[in-house]
Order: sequence, then structure tokens, then C-alpha cells
Amino acid sequence: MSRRVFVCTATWKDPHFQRGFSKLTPNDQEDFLAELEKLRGLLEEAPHPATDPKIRQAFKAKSYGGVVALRGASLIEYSIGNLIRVIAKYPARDGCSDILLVAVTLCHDHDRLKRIIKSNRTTIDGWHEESES
Amino acid sequence: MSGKQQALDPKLAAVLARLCERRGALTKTQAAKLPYLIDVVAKHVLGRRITQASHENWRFGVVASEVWHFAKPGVRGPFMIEEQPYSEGRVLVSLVETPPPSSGLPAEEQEIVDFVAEEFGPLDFDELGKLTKAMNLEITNWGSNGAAKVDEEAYTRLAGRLDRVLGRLERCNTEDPNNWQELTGASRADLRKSLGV
Repeated sequence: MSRRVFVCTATWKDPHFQRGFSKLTPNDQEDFLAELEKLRGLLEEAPHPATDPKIRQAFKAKSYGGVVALRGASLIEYSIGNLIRVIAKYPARDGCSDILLVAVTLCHDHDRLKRIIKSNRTTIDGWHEESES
Repeated sequence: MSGKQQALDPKLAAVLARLCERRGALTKTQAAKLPYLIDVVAKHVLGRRITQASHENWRFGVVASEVWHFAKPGVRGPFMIEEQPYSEGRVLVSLVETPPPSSGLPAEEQEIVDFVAEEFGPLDFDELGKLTKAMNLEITNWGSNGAAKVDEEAYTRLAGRLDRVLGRLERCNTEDPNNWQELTGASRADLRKSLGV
């Protein structure tokens, strides 16, 4: 299986993501890019970009139909860690097996929320310590 | 139906009052949708929700059904509900009592309500509908009144503003290969460059 991987130029390069990315530590930035490279490789080889066990295991792939913006294709959400999601459209267009990566979203806690999290951390069971960026 | 128009649960009333304090008059849509965002943020930050509202999937997004049924014209507890026939918002919810009843909220809950009021309070009917729908990609039968997600998945989509991604996609012809760039076999450096980071 060899699938071609494309990005949507109008949506992929996103200032909102760029700002979030710039706040990551250099190590976290490199880790993200390494994971994105790994995802790109798996997408090229996998029989199906959402149901393939390797992709599901590594990136918790979830597929959703009925998203109006995608005109009949499915939206696939890939998780990179807890904070980053890669959003893809599949198939890229009707009748092909290519995949179109459309966006990366980065979930950053707002500084105000971080303060509340810190002050409540001791009272929350099973809370995972996060490194400060 | 009369049961649905009873007074709000004190915690939900306190949240609504605090929203009114921060935003002034709310449209009915804001009054019914912002508590959902507040509970999603609270679940992430505090590990628990603030209200026990029923956040349901309605045709135009997620709605706290108790607030919707409560917001009938008239003075209702500390709130004034006014119909504005020629306004986009149509029904406005505001406070009539001073001091307002939001004092029942602990400081950390008040801070979460204030955060949501500032970050998402300016969104209109359409934007709040799209935002709450983007947080619930699993739901395909909007209008079935089922329960909306209040978990980390919903928070990640909220904080990552997935609604903005979907909005940009609506304005873009993703079927047209002229809007594509191939990254088959791309190196890490190529991927970095493609993202402009």
C-alpha cells in the first residue's frame, strides 16, 4: 500500500498553532515533529488511515462522518500526546485513497487556568504533574 | 411543562448571575450555552463540574436545557428576562438584584466563570453553536437532546479551537488539488517548513 499524503495549504499553516508551538520547549517541539514524521510514514503505508491497528495504537485515530465542512469525506483526529491533534480529511477527494492533512491544533492552558490548576492540584486525585514550558 | 419553568438550581443561578455581572445582558443563547463551556473547563481544571445542568445536543448546538426553559419573559428570581422583537438576540437575560447572588461561588469557580465570560462571552449565536458542535464530533444526530461530552476530549477541542479549523475548511475548496501541497516522504525539516514553525 502506498498512499500519498498532502496538506491543505489554506489551513495547514496556522498562526494560532504557530504561536502555541513557539511556547513549547525545544525538546517538545522536536518530539512533536518526530511524531508527525512517524504519522506521515504510517499514513503512507497503512491499509486504512483510521482503522489500521498501528495508527490506532500510536495516535488514537478516531474517524467522524457528517462534518459539514468536509463534504462527504470523514474527518480523522490523530492524538500526539495529550495536547496536540492532527486533523485530516479522508479521502482527500472522492474516489482516491490519498489523505489530506488539514490542521494541527494545540491545546494550551491559559495562564489564568494554570494558576487555578496549581492551587487545586493537591486536591485532585491522580493529577499528572506537567513540566513548565 | 410548568416543571421545566421552575427556579434554577442555586449553583446554576449563581453561574448565570456571575456571567451577567461580567457581560451585562446575555442573549438567551449565551445564557444557555456558556454554562456548558464553564462545566467543560471546570472538569479540566478542578476535576469536577460546577453545575449539574443537563447539557444536551439541540439542533443548533449544546444547550443547558434548564436555562432555556427558565428564560421566559418576566422577572424570575434575580433575573429579568426581556423579549426584544427586533434584536438579533431576541431574548435577553440580565440581573435585577443587587447584590447579585453569585457570591455563592467559591473563588476558583468564580475565576473559571470569569475566564469563560471573557474568552467566549463575545461569541454570537452562530459561533457558539459551531463551537459546541465542534467539541462533540461524535454526535451526528443534532437535535436528539442526548448528552454532550464534558470530558477532556471536549476540553482539548475547545482549547484547541477546533471550531476555527472547521470554519476555515468551510471557506476552502479542499477538493481542488491546487490547494494541496504534497508531503509524501517529507523529512522532519520539510514538515517543520510546511507548518511555518
